[in-house]
Amino acid sequence: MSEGQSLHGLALRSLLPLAFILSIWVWMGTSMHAALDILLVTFIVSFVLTIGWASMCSWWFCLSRRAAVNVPLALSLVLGIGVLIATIVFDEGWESLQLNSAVAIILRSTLQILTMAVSLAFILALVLSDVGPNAEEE
Amino acid sequence: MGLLAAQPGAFDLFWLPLAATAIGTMILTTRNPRQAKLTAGAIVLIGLGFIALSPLTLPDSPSSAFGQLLLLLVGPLSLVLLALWIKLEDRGDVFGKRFIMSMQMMASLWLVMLWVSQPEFGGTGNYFWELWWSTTLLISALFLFIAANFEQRNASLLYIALGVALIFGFSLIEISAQQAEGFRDSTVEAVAILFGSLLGIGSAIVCWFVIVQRLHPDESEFPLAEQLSDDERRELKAKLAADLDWIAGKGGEVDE
Repeated sequence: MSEGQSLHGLALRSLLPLAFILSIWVWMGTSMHAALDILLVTFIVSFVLTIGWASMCSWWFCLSRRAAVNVPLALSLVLGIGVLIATIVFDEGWESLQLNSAVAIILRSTLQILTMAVSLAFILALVLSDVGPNAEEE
Repeated sequence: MGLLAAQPGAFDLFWLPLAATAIGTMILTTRNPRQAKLTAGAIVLIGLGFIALSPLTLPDSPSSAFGQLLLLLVGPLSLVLLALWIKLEDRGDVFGKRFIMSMQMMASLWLVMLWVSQPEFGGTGNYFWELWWSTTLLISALFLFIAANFEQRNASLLYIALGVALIFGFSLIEISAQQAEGFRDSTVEAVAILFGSLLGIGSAIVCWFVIVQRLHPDESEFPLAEQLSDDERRELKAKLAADLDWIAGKGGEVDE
């Protein structure tokens, strides 16, 4: 990347080929209606899961190392609000997702996020174990 | 308690092990005594074992499709982690770099064979396998698109072409038109999940950071600091410095 190229420019150039492919698929008839719903659901669930992870870590530090209790309490409060919002938003079910209850939507979205995490871990392990194109026997 | 007292169901054989795996991972990835990390590692392995065996223990549960995905990936993931371990432990001179590359090739070939065999769960295609396959190709293509920005012109075009070929190519060479359409739908879903997750995790991290920054000023003053003598103050500083050195040097046991 040459000097003067910003992060926004990098992101735009990196996503342009993907946008090109998706636009061809839309022209071929692939439906994008459910994508926005999935994006919104995944945003809410991943927010709740991350805050849940953070509060779990904070409580562990509080209980095992006598750290201050104000941070885990605050994180638990945010987690509770997040779960409440998720339950209210998902309560009636989403027709595009073919799921009828908030619990089903949250659990399925959790497994989707974990599937993506497994995929990312596999690729990172493959990239990090790469020895390069000029590998020779010593 | 009613959930635990009844015949084991999805909660006992899938979701509880998943929660235990998450707690074990949290202990493994944070600074803890070695004994706690060993216990956490065992919990993670047992939890993953329960999840991977869920297609056999809970054949009617939709969540067991995720367990089948983990079971399918045990082989390729073991090969890749073996190659990674050899490289990280710097044992390339013992095993040879070609051994590492052959592990990677075998893992990739294994995945292609799985893709050809089209794993099924409950009489239909395994949803999580299809999502995993689409997500892997998508993330690989995005890595190539990002790397293209740091290469010279010809190499940059090659990277972009390879990334496009990964996604576009597989959407054309699926065995049937129905599977090709399914791959496109799965990839669109993977794009939505990827960007939704990035936004959600990013927002949560910002929220976490703001909470910690807001609350930490309350802890900045030590109420007994003025009552320490000079010797006690020096000893306290030495202990704090040793603590920081331990963190920096990733030193061994935590003193109880």
